[in-house]
Formats: sequence, structure tokens, C-alpha cells
Amino acid sequence: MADDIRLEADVLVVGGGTAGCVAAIKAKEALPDGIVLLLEKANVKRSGAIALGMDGVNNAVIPGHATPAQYVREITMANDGIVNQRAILAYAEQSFGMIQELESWGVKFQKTATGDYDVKKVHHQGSYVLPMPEGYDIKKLLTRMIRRVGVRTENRVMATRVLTDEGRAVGVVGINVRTGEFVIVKSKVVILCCGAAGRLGLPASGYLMGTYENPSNAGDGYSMAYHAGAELTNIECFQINPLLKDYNGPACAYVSGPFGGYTVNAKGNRFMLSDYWSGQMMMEFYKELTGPNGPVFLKMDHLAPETVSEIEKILHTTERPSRGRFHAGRGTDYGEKLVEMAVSEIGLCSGHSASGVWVNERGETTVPGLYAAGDMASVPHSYMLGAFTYGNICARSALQYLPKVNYGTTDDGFIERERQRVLAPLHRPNGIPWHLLEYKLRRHVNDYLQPPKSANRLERGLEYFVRASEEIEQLGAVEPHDLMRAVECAFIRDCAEMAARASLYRTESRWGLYHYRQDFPEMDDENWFVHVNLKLTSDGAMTLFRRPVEPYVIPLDQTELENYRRIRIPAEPAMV
Amino acid sequence: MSDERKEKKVVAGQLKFESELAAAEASRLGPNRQVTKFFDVPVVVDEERCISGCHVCVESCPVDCLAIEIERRKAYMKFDDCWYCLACEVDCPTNAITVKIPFLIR
Repeated sequence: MADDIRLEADVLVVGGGTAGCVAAIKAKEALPDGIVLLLEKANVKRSGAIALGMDGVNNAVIPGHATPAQYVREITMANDGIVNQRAILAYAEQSFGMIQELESWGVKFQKTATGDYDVKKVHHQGSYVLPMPEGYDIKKLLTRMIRRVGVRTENRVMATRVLTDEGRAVGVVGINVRTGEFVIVKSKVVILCCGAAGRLGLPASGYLMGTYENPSNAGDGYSMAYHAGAELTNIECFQINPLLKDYNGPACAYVSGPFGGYTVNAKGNRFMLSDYWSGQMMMEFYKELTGPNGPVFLKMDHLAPETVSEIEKILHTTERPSRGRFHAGRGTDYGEKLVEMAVSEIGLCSGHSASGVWVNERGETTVPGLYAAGDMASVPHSYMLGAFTYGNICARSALQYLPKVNYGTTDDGFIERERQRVLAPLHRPNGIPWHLLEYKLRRHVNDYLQPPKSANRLERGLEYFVRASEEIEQLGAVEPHDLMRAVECAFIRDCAEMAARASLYRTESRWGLYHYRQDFPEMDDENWFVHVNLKLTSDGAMTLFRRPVEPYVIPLDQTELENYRRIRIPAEPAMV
Repeated sequence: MSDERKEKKVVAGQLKFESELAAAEASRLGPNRQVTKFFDVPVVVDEERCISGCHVCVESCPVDCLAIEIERRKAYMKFDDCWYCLACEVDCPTNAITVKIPFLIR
């Protein structure tokens, strides 16, 4: 049709956040005469999880402080053994190079007086946290690099489906969220960097956009990869974070921990050995929060005033700078009061847990020509530096594949059906407003999927998520902005269905709170020492299956593997 | 009373439409459609300071909730999906924007 926007690129990167920026920059550097196109549903200068910067690297593997083998062991423990170690090792080995490259782009990491990286210990075992007190500008530096190397950027374009040609990714379709125009992009390879499914559970505040993740990350990438036929993995290993109650931002123990802050119960007692986020840690947090000694707080009131100011300076300028305003409104001063925390709603995010589109150590999904990086790809606990590093890895793999392929043939029938599906809400201006349907979807996620899980509840949830497909067909939109939100409802629904089915499939408990099944409370290595993967099969069904854990490249003995299950500090014996 | 009226006996719980969806559709097309009224939006723009023709904040917003009011040529919060991230406030060249914490969270 005449009104469509048609674009072509050698390399297409979808999502201009942490991973996408690096993928686009590295691809363009290696392909000076080719077209590298970056699609971003917001504006690259302020988009993605680090729109307002980041206060530190949570998983730096810096020579002299940690080794790749040590890091792989730690992340294997934190994931109860269900990991693809090769993918973690690729990160661990290449991430220091990424830090050095980021420095050459102007990103500043904290150093000691002697010029060494100022690495802190937050994890249960090793030291991997590298502060970035000036990390608020990181997105501006990346945007500058994107312009400098000549990446073509299309802001305010949201991809909705990956185009395939005989099973290979050959582009995407989407919409311009400002104009409502339909966008068709043909490309030789597609790198998805669409972030977490951060708008899955409903925050306890009831505020739809009160999410920990940037709410633009609605699970777009999970849904698009699924519909393209890619395998997804560990979906039942939910992301649940210990957050500032109501504000729903990080507390943030990674920043305050090295300064002496820590998590306590209402009696002011420390109850766990490590504040590093893992399913096992979240289980202890949840037990304490809901038990007689709850709620749970971040304790900083014992610190010197200068230390408190230093923590505030970081927390109130970076990542979620409105934290300070929130505390001021409640009359909470870090130096005087404990800061109340809570368990977040669920999400899907490999950056913090392990759910994602299955990728190997080359960033390849199971669909040829389709790569994924960052919070939506399956490398566990990868955080910001994992997104940067895998953005780079995906660009390299995509460029090796590029000479072997040309533009594929796009299926006009598919494109037309997708146009009808995506634009339909604009033809129903009196249809269901997106915020009502989104609220309903996410409220059901809380009611039935939020751990503790049980088959009865999960099945009730699944029943609604299947029925919600009909409700999605009743969505209305007046403005292109509403259209974007309406289409996101379908992404959210897809993720909710995946979360319900994967949680039902794994009939054991694992990863602490992330997959705590009350009806199967024990871990069952004999039957479930496997990944649970899912994909769309040709009959249109969501199919779940076991994928074996690949042999470890860094072996662990059983005692080591259980390290993360021993982070509870036993209650002090009563005074005699 | 005509036969037709007699047949229209009201039975509690009986749906007058083929399905819930059909009933919902009918109610949306009717004249009693509710209109959401925004109040106490998080993003506050000081119009004296806001530069006409500038749209830095509109471009900064990660959730695209800001727009320029065409007649006044000033920025305002058009859609109620603020993430209180402060991108608009930080990027505004004249410091014209204040982002309040949304009411439900405050």
C-alpha cells in the first residue's frame, strides 16, 4: 500500500537499548559500506533499561579480581545448575574487553587511587561489582557513537513480528507509534534486543507503569521470537526482585552494600548472608517479609552522614533518580530511617534471572538469521554488561553469516494479515481501552502466576490468558499511541501464557522463590535437571519440551552447587 | 398488554445478548460511554519557561506520554503512562519541567 514505510538493511537491530546500541555500533564498524538499521520504539537517547543511566556494573570479571571460571561457577550455583555454561563463559571471557571498549567511548568506571578498577563484593562468593558513579550519561555516549559510526536510526518505530522465509529471519514489520503508519523492513539478518517482559505482573500499587523495568519493555522480543518459531527457555524461572516498596525501583543493596548497608527484618536483624539477587535469596526475603519478623528493610541508618550522602548522590542521580523525590514525599531519610522493601511483581528477564529466547555462545537463536541479546536472551544474570557483551557477540556472529545470505522473499499474505491485526484497533475507536485490558491481564498474572505457584492456580490463569485472545480482538484505539499500547497487550498476553505453561510443565521446585511449586515443593534433579524450552509448532500450538543441560565446561561438585541454598542466617538463640 | 410485551418478561441473570462480548460491544456503542478524566498528572510544565518550538522533552520520553499542545505551542502530558524516570525533567534546557511521583505511589 502507498502509505507503508518500506526500509531495507543488511543488518537490522530491533531495540536501541543497552544491547541494541552496541550491536548496531559494532555491526556498522565492521560493515562501513553496508546499511545497519536500528529500530527503537522510543528514542535511542533515552530508551531501554538504562534510559537514565546505571550506577554500576554488577558482573564485571576483571583480571586480578575474578576469573571467568570463578564467575561461571558462581552463576551456575545461583541458577541451581540449569545453565548453558558455554554461553556464560563467552560472556565472562569477553566482558573485560567490553569494559575497555566502553571506556574508549567515554564511559567512566570507578577506580582506586592507584588506578585499579574499584571492584566490590556483593555476590555470595566472588567480587564482581564495579561502580559507575558517573553512569547517568551512558545512553548519551552510546547515542553519540551511533551517530559517529553512521548507524541509520528510526526512532518511535515498534516492531510487531519477525518476517521469515522458509524458517530464516528476513526482516520485521511494525508500526510508527506516532503516526500509526505500517512499517515493513527487509533485512539479511535480524538482531532482537527488545529488553525484558517488564509489564507482566501488576505492581502492588496498582499503577500500570509503576514497574521495575522500563515499561516500554513489554515482552515484545519474547513474543516476536516465539511467533518466528524460535525456542524460549527457563520461562518458569521468573524475575522477582526485592525492591523499594511502592516505588518499585532498586533499593539498591548493590550500591549501598559496599558502603555498609544491608537488608534486615523488622527487628533490625540481618537474616541472609548475601544481598545478591537470586531465586534462593528471594525465597529467604519472601519468608522473612511474610513471616512474623516482616516486613523487610534496607538498613543504612547506622552509617556516617558523609557515607549516607555519598549513597544518596549515586542513587538520586542515576538509573531511577526519582527515588529521592519518593523518599522525600514519605519523609524517609536514609540516615535516620530504615527503608521499607517488598517483593516485586513477576517479570521475564534474563538480565536478572534466566528467562529468555534460547541463545548459544554466539548469540544465535534457533531460527537462522535471528540473533538475540540482552534481557530477552537466555544468558542468565547477565545485567547491563551482559547486554553490551552479547550485543557485540551477536553483531560478530551476524556478520559472519551475512556473506552467505541475501534478502529473502517476504510473504505478502503474511504481511497483509499482520497489517490487519496490528491496525485493527484503529478501526474500533469505541473498543476496549488498552489500559482496561492490560490491567485485567496483569491482575490475572498476579492472582495465578505470582509464586508460590500451584497447578490449580496456574491452570485457572492459563484459562483466562487463552480467553484473553478474544478480548484482544476487541481492543480499540483512537491515537497511534493507544495503538502501541493495544499491540503491547498481545505481547503481554503471549508472555503470560508462556509463563503459565512453563510453570505447569516443570513439576518440581527450583530457583528458590522464582519457581516455588507448593504442590511439588522439592527439587527433583533426577527428572528435572533440564531446561524447559517452548516453541510454536507448525500446528499453531505452544509446545513444551525438555532440553538437556549441556556438559559443564567448568565442573562443580555437589557441595559447591548447593552454596546458594545456604544463605539464610539462623535466628539468634534466645538469651538465657 | 400486547403478546410481544408479555414475552419480554425479565428473568434475572438471563443475558439479552448472544454473548458477553456482544453485550459489551453494544454498551460501548451506546451514548453512556464513559470518558476518563485525567487529574493530578505527574508531569508539570511551567509554561513561562517552556520554549515554544522546542520538543526536547517529547523526544526524551521513553513511554512517549508527552506532546506539544498545538495552539499554545507548549509541552504537556498527553497520555497517562508516566514512568517517573525524569528524562524530560533532566533534558529540558530551561528546567521548565517537574515530575511528581504518580499519586498511587506517592
